[in-house]
Order: sequence, then C-alpha cells, then structure tokens
Amino acid sequence: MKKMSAIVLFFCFNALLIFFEVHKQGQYLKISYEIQKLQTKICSITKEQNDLIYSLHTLQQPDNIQTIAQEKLAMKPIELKKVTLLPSGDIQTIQDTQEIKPEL
Amino acid sequence: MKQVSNFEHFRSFFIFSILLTLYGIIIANLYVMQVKKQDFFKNLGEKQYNISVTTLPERAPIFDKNGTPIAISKDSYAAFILPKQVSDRTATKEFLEKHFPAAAKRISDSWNKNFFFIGRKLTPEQQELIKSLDSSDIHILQEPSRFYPYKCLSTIIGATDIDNHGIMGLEQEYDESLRGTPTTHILKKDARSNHFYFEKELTVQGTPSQPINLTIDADLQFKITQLVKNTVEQFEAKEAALVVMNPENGEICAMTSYPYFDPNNMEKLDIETTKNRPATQAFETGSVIKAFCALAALDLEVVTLDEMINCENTKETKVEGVRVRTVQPHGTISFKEIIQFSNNIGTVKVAKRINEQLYEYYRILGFGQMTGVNFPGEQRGYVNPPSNWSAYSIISLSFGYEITTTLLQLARALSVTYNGGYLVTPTLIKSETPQKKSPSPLISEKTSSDLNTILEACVQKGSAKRAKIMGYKTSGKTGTSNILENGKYNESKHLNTFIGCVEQGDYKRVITVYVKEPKKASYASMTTAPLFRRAAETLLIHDHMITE
Repeated sequence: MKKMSAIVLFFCFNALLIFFEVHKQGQYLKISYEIQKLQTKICSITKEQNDLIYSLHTLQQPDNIQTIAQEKLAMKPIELKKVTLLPSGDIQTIQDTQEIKPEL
Repeated sequence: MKQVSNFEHFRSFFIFSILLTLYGIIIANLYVMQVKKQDFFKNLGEKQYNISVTTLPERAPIFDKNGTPIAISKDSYAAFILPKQVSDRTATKEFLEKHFPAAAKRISDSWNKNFFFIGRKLTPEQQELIKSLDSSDIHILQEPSRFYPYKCLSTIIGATDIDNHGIMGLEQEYDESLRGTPTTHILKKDARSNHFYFEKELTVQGTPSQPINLTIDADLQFKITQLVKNTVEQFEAKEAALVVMNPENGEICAMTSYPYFDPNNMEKLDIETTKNRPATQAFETGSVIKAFCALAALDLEVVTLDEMINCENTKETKVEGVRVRTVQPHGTISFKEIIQFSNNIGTVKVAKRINEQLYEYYRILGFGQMTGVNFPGEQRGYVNPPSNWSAYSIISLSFGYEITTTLLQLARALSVTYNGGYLVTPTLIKSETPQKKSPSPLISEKTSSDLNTILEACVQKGSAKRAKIMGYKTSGKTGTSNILENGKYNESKHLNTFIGCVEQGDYKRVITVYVKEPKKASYASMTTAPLFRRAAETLLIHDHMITE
C-alpha cells in the first residue's frame, strides 16, 4: 500500500512539474507576444509621427509662408533702415500693452 | 488442440514479411534522413523555423545650424505586379495603358518576369486610383524616401536616388554615415506564428545612422536666395551665386546658387541647376583679385598706401612694351586710390615690382588648391605658374586673368584680412572642435590693416559705393571680367563679382558674390555691389546686429 502511495505521489509530483513548465512556457510566449504587439504599435505610432512631421514641414516650407505673407497678408520684406532699436524700457512698455486684455 | 494449417502458416509469414518490409522501409528512410542526408534536412528544417530578417536603419536627417530639419525621411509608395502570377492580364493591361502609359509600354516585353515596378514615389492621387481599383494583381509597396523642406538648399544638400542613396551634394559625401549599416536577426517561429516569433537572435550588429548638423542657417539661406534670384531676374543674368562666411572659423552661414533645382521633384531635372556654383564653378574674377595683389605688394613692402603712382591719365598705355587698358583714366594717384578706383595701369605697375612672388602669394592664399570644405565636385581653380608665363602673364594675374577661382576660395582668401591673417578651412559641418586654420598668420597686422583701409575706401568713395550701408562698417572690392568663349574674350559678356565684409563690433561676415552675363548692366558696381548690400542688410537683420 505504501509502495503504491509513493508511486502515485511520484507521478503527481512529476505531473505538477510538467504543468509548471508548460505554464511557464505559456507565460513566456504570452509576454513575448505582448512585447511584439507593443513593438508593432510603436512602429505604427512612429510612422504616424513621421507622417505628421512631414505634413508639418510641408506646411512650414518657406516658399509657402512667403506666398501667404506677401499675397494674402500684403507683407513686405523688412528694410534695415526701417528697423529701429528701442531702449529696453520701451520694449517693456510694449510688452505690458500687449498683455492688457480688451474689455468685453 | 487445433492443428495450424500450411495456409495459415503461409498467411502469418506473409503478414510478418509485409510488416517487416514496411518497418525496413521506415528504418531505411530514417537512416537516409537522419544520417545520410542529415545536413540537407537540417537546413530544410532551419529554413522553415528560422527566418533571417535584415533591418536597415532609417536614413538620418540633416539639420541646419539652429536644429531645423532640412532633409527628413518619409515613406513613399511604389506599385508593382508579379507578371507571372497576374490573374487578369487584359484588365491589368487596360488599367496600365489608361493610367500608367510608360509602364504599359515597358510591360509588353516583361510578362515572363517575376517582378515588375509600375511606378515608384506614387502621388496620393495615383495611390487612391490603385486602391479604388481593388485588384489582386496590383500591389503597393512602402519604401523610404527623402523630403527637403528648403528647396533653396538643394545645391548644398543634394538629393538621393530612387533607392534612397545619396547621389549629389552632402547626401553623397556623407552617404555612409547618413545610411548606417543593416542589422540582421534570426527569428525562430512556427508555421502558425504569423508575424510573431518565439526567439530573436542577433547575427549581424549594424551601426545606427548619424545625423548631420550644418553651419548653414536655412532661413538666412532662403532670404539670401530670394535676393540672388531677384538680381538675376532684374538684370536678366544667366546665373548668380553668393557665399556668406564667418572669417574667424570658416563656418559657411549661407551658400546660395541660382538657378537651383527642386529636390522633391527630380523627374524633370536640368543638370545645370544641380551645380553648387560657389564650390564647383571656377572663373576668372577680374578686378576683385586686385585686393590680393595689393595684399602681396603691401606685405612685401614694395609699395605704401600713400605712394603716388603715375597712371598716365589714359585708358590705354604700354607697360614695358605690353598694352594695358583700363576703364577710367587717372593721373598720378596714391596706391590706395589705384585699388579704390580699380585702375589697371597703376595696378600693373605695382604688380611688376612683385613679379613671380605674386604667384607665391596667390598660392599661399589658397588659390589653385582645394579649400578642404569636403564638397563633391569642388574645383581647385588654376593659377598660371611662372614657368608658363608670357610677357602678358604678370599683367593678367594682377587684374584677374590667367587665374580662376571659386567664390569659396575668394571668401577664404579674403577672411585672412579680417581674422588676423590666418587661412581658415571653410566648413559646412558644425563641429565642437575648433576649425583648422594656418598655424601662424600669413600676413602682418599692418598689411591686414592697410588692406582693410583700401577696401573700406572702395566702398566709401570708390567703385563699390553701392555696397555702402549707413551706420555699419563695410569694405569690399568689385570685379568685372569678360567671359572666355571659343578661345576669345567676348567683350559683350561679363562676369561681375564682389568680395567684401560687413562688421558690427566683433561680428564679421565675409560675403562673396558673382553674377554671370547680366544683360541689363555691364559692371559689378551696378549688379553685385547692390546685391552685396542687400545681402549684408538681410544678414544684419537676421542676426539681430542692429546699431542704435
């Protein structure tokens, strides 16, 4: 009887070990797949980011900005003789003026 | 006990034999697979489970001085078919004939091929068209390509080809570091794992791609290019170029060339527009070289600023039997005035005193040599050596003939006057380490100061009056040369140059410019001097160097 119990116990112990090994492998694969899924996601987000950067730089092309500035906003290139250097006190006054919000 | 009949014996033996034969076949097969053809089946198994994946790093961006990206990677799309596997050849052919006629022509001889590109770098409209067709025969492939937000930088950065390899400019020069090298992994997977793998094993470690930071200021380049373009249009010139350089360290702030090409649209490319003229176009400069002739004369102390020289009050004379012509007649004037008014007769008389040493000075100043800028196709120019001289050579060399230089060489040589006499190495690449320069000054402080006085006088009262900027220290020299055509100088075709410097305290920028074949003006004083002024003004505003 004792011999029988020892054999059963031995088989149970081995079965438990096999179960744990299979479980460990399963977990390993699951995490590995999760990592790979996240890597795929990173790739697609990076691609999206690159597309946005491309769109941003397409819109920021100086030729486009110049066309908008000159044709739509009627702006002209600045001339050196028209640039005046303001004393620092005046700059502060301008900044203060700009910060005043109009009353509704 | 029942007796076993002969038939039953035979039947048992027969079944046993069949089973034995079958087991024998299995064992023989196992032997063949496991022992005889072990390598073959091992490889086959590995091929099924191990997939080799090679990843090329994304081509690195190029940044300007302020970190603005001026060359970035983007995905482009290509359409292809697998001709041997096409299910509906007629429909595919009709579609190609209608929307991709060039591909339709090419495919007629390629139906027996495995792979065929219909088009690469597809436009969004073309992509939509293919998607809307919903054909299983036409496939879309994503591939990397380049985008350049600043077209005006095209002659510096260059471009990449359809396979994203650098083929021009800095893209070509730094192709290896911008590309990096591929990394190879082996992925272990089974038939059902699809995109997933069990294990990833590194087999070849690649190197990451390295971005490049330029010394060029992209916004400044854009503004300067607009000025150059306006000048070309105003004077109906053939082409023009301009360089802005920091004389202290050789950093090039802007290097513009007009006309230039659109690197985002390389289909209709005029090869002439791909030239980086400041580095790759060597030309006879005309009178701007007088500044360096004066530098040699002053450094050798064969003349002083105030020495009075008889310019014979004529437009044409003979100096030691050789005919010399000048634009305006002058009497006896000081050496300073000779350069200021760009009098050829006076310059030749002084050059005669320097003689062969003039060649040495030109070489020391870097003419006829590479500047070290590391730009593909850079021209070294030419200075006629004394061994090849004729009686006319010293005369020609004193006012800019028999010597060809690039704008970059002129900027480098002129920097000597503004940085204490050192010859700097022009650079387009921003570096933490100080730039290379000659170990000791090439000229004395007095020579620098005297030449500065002469070049300032040129702008204040001389031929370069139109380069003057009120309230700022500007100095420079104009030059007009005739263009050599079929072995003869064409007197109706001119090349106008200007070399100069704008200063504001410690801030100094050397500007060199040329305008080729202007139709509406002949002299540099009309074309390049005002262009210098406008460029210098733009530079001062851009760099916030405004005086009170």
